[in-house]
Order: sequence, then structure tokens, then C-alpha cells
Amino acid sequence: MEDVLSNIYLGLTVALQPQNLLYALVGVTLGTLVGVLPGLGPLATIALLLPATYHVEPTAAIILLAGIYYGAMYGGSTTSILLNIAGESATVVTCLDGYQMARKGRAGAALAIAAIGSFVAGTLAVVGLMLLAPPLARVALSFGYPEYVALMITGLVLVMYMTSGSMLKAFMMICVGLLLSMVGQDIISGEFRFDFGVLELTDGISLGAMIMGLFGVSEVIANLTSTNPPQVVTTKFRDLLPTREEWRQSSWPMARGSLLGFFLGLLPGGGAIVASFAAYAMERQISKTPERFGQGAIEGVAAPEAANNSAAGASFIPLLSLGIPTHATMAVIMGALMIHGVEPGPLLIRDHGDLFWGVIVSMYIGNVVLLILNLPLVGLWVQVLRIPYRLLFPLILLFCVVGAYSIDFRLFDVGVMLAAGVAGYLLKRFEYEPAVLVLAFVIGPILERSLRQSLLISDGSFTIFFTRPISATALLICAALLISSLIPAINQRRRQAAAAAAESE
Amino acid sequence: MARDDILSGAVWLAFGLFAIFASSQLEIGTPTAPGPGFVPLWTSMLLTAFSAALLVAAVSGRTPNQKAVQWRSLFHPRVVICLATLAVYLAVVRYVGFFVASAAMLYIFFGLLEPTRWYWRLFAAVLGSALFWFVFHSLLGLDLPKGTLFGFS
Repeated sequence: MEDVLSNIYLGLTVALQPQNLLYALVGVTLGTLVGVLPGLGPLATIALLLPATYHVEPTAAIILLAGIYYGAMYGGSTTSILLNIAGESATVVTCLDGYQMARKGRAGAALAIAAIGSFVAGTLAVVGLMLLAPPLARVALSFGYPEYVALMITGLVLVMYMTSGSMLKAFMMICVGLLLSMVGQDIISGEFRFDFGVLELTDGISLGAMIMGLFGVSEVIANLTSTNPPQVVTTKFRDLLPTREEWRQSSWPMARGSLLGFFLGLLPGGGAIVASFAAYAMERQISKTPERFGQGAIEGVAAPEAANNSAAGASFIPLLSLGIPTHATMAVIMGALMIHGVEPGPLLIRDHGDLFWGVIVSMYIGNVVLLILNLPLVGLWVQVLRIPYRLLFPLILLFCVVGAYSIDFRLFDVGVMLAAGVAGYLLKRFEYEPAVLVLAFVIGPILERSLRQSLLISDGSFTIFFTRPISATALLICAALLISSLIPAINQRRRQAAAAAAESE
Repeated sequence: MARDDILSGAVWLAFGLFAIFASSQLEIGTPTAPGPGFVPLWTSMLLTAFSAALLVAAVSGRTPNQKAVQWRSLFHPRVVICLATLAVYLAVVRYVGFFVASAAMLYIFFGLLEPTRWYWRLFAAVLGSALFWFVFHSLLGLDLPKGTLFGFS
């Protein structure tokens, strides 16, 4: 307990530094803005703002990026409730009852319950992060090269498992990401690989430019083809205070949503998005009046809003303690940490305690700021929705150009970003998952180094990965996940074969 | 008819084969002493195998995605104009500098989604470029690309 208190004190001294306070404020404000604006998700924004963090301290950078992520969860509910448009994919389900409440003149109550539910759940997640991450990291400190290989493979399999598309394509994205990570100087022999005589490639491909292209530029390009730009439909909201009955109806759903979201946030599979849908489904299932759902039931706002926020916080636990990102946004934050020379994983809490505890305490502060931003200032965010996309997208693209250029002051990186933007657009259109590619790119160097070192230790024997308990268990989990993901496809094929046989008879 | 997965499978197969060739130019080593080409070679062989599997499955109609390639939507005129503008921007910015190139790019982009009067576009483009220049160059001290023609960024 004393340890925790002294660590919180350390976190307070870091988070309360004026620069870090400012970055927390900027992060949650930008996050709310991004959450409110439909079409620009937290992933793209974190990618776009990555270069802006290059010249600041790593702690301030992660405080800013984390603030954008959990801030977006708050902001997304405003658009869902007031406009029936999901500002962020994790708040899609809030539209169902939130908008119906707004139509009945209870928009204020819906917004208040969403914000308070988010605050309670966000705080719970931070407490969980504070209590669970350090012991997990301590266990992981005993890891050697083979355990690292198994851990990295687990990370890849977990992210692959969460992808909704084809497993085969996810495998291909892993290979492409790994190959791209090998461009440049080999970390062990010093030999240059795949540079094809291009001087700029000897340093490898810039992660920042690639992330901005794959997630930022590609999203802008994809939005250009949309024939239905988001239409703003406003509604009125009167008072912000829920009635006593509404408080009573939403308190348990809020608590259940927070807990469910927390556990789902720890697991791979979409984090906040899945958590919000699962919490909504659970509340409808256990409700004595399920017919009220979809007609403006406040439980349908409280539970998913609490769930998506606690899931957002919980997903930091596997990233910061084990170095495993459970979804694409966490993979980008992992990339940001690595750009700043901080390797996420077991050593992070020991070697960068100030960063870890500073980020945690800033999350507490950020949650309070978000409550203030999202309740009294809600009218301001509604005005933001009136900015037309035709004015926004050129400025976003110019921002990307400046961002990519500022990485190393090379036009080559702008070219990399542009190429990654085209690649990201094509990958999404052809149903490949760029997030898997980025994760493989990020962990590629660690995986390759650990694999080669393990083989050197074992004299070339691959059994080293199966004779050590931790790596063997991790690889068994990977195998189980892979098999479980293949079962539905096998069953479907069997059914198709049976149907075809029945037809031919 | 060309299908999405046949096309993408073929592209990745070609990429995988090229990666095998490029990796084989490096020192491969052995499992006891893996060289710089060891992991790249195995990774590119895996990519080639997965791409070939996708291609075979797509040709035999066993992949869930049986859509024809939507060329018209894929290369929507707005997408083509946007990418071409960015490519030209990248080519000329080193000659004309950041301010001029960015204003020209914004002028095209502001009229891409909806027709707008040319003088409004010009005004917004110059203002937008000047704002970026002011914020990033003057306030944040970022060294934006200087043009060799005019000698300023």
C-alpha cells in the first residue's frame, strides 16, 4: 500500500508539472473534438498528431495521445445523443436510446448520465491499471529471449484474432509488416538490407510517416469517395440534471457496464467497441422491461457509455505491462512510445516509472477535465459539427504534409506518407487490415533480435521455445486462439458441403 | 471477371517472390548462426505461400470475397485528382517552396467536393497556406521546405 501511495505521489509530481497539465488538457480537448466530429476517429488523429509530439518529453507525448483516446470516448456520445450519428465507432450503440431520449426532451439527462458514467468507468479503469499493471510487469521481468519471442508472437496472434476479416490476409499483413521493418541496417550484423541504393532507406522506413499515411491520409482519401457526407440534424436539450428515477435506473447499469468493459478491455477484440455492444446487450437481457430499449431507456445510455470508457482505460494494462497492444489504437500508441525510445513491456514500469505513474495520474486529471468539458460546454461542441468537410479535409492533408516533413525535415518522408496513404486506402478496399501490418512493423525488430539470440543460445534448436514454461504456455495459447478462430470457417464449409450434397441428391 | 482477391493475391505473390530474391542476396547463415538474411528469407517465403493459398482459394471460388474489382469507385475522379495533386506538390515544393506549393494545392482541394467561386478558393487557399506558414515556421520555428526558384519557404 505504501508503495502505491509513494508511486501516486511520484505520478502527481510528474502530472502536475505545467507542461504535462497543458498536454493533458490539449489531449482531452482534441479527443472530445475528434469524438464529436464524425468521420475522423481517435486512431487517425493520434496518427496525425504523432509528429507534433516528437519534440516534447516522452511523458508529455503519451499524456497527450492517451488523452485523445479516452477523450474521444466522451465526445462520441454527444454526437450520438444529439444528432443520431456516431461520432466514434464505440458510441454507435448510444444512438439507439440516447437519440430517442433527446427526441423526448431528455437530451440533457442522457448527456449527463453518459458523462458521469464515463467518468465513473474511466476512474475505475485507472484504478485497475494502477493495481494490475505493476504485478503483471514484475512477473514479466524474469523473461529471457525465448519468452520475448513467445510474447511478441502472442501479441501478433491477439491482434490477428481481433480482425474481423480473413485470417489468411491477416497472416499476409504480418509478413509484409515484418519485411518492411527489416529495411535499413541490421541490428546484429550492421549490414544494410533492402535499401536498393536509396540513401534515405538506410535508416529504415519512418514509422511516423507510415502510420500517418496508413490511418490518416487513407481515411481522408476514403471519405472523398463517399456519396453521403454526414448530415447535421440538431435537436434541443433542456436541463442537464437527470431525475431521481433516472439516477436509480442508471446506477446499476453504469456499475455493470464499467466492470464488463474493464474485463473486455483487457482482451483483444476491438476493446471499447465490443464492450459497448456487449454492455447494451447484457442490460437488455437482464431488464424486466426490455421493450423500453430502443425507445429511450436511460440504461441503454448508461451501460455502453460506462463500458466503452472502462475498456479504453483497461486496454492500457496489457500494453504498458506486457507490451501487447490489444487493438489498432494501442498499436499506434506503442509505436509512439518506441519513437520516443521507450520500449513498452515489463521494463517500462521499472525503467520509466515517472512516465508510467505520470500518465496514470494525468488520466485521473483528464477524466475530471472531461466531465467539465462535456457537461457545461456541450453547446460549444455542437457548433463544431457545422464545419463542412470540404474545408476540413484540405487542411487535414496539409497538416499531414507538414507533420511528415517535420519528422526528419526530409521530403522523402512525405513521399513515404503519401505511398502509405495510397496503400492504406487500397488495403481497406481489398479487405486487408493495416493495423496488423503496423503492429508487425513495430515489434518486428524486437522479434527478429530475440529470435536470432534464442537460436544462438539453443545452438539452432527451435525446441527452446517449447521447453521453457512461460514461452510454451504463451505459444499454446496462440495455438488455441488460432484453432478457435478457424472452427467457424470449418463448420461453415461443412454446412455448405452438406447443403451441396443434399441439393445434388 | 477479375475479383478482388485474385488481384490482391497476385500482387502479394509478386511482392513475396521479389522479397525472396532480395533476401537471397543477403547472408542467410544457419539456424545455429542466423545471418541478416535469415528472418527476411523465411518471412518472404511465408508471404509467398500465404499469397499463393489466397490466389488458389480465390480462383477456385472458395474465398468469402467474390466481388469484382470496383475500378470506377476505387479510382473515383476525386481520389485521382487528390493523389495527383499531392504527387505534383511533392515534385514541385523543392522548387517553388512551401507557401506557393501549399496555396496551389489548397486551391485545388477547396473546390474538389463542391464547386466554389474561384476568388473565394484563391482567398481561402492563400489564407490557409499563410496560416500554416505562420504557425509552423514563425511560431514553432519549423524549417519548412525552401524553394530554389524564389529562395523562401
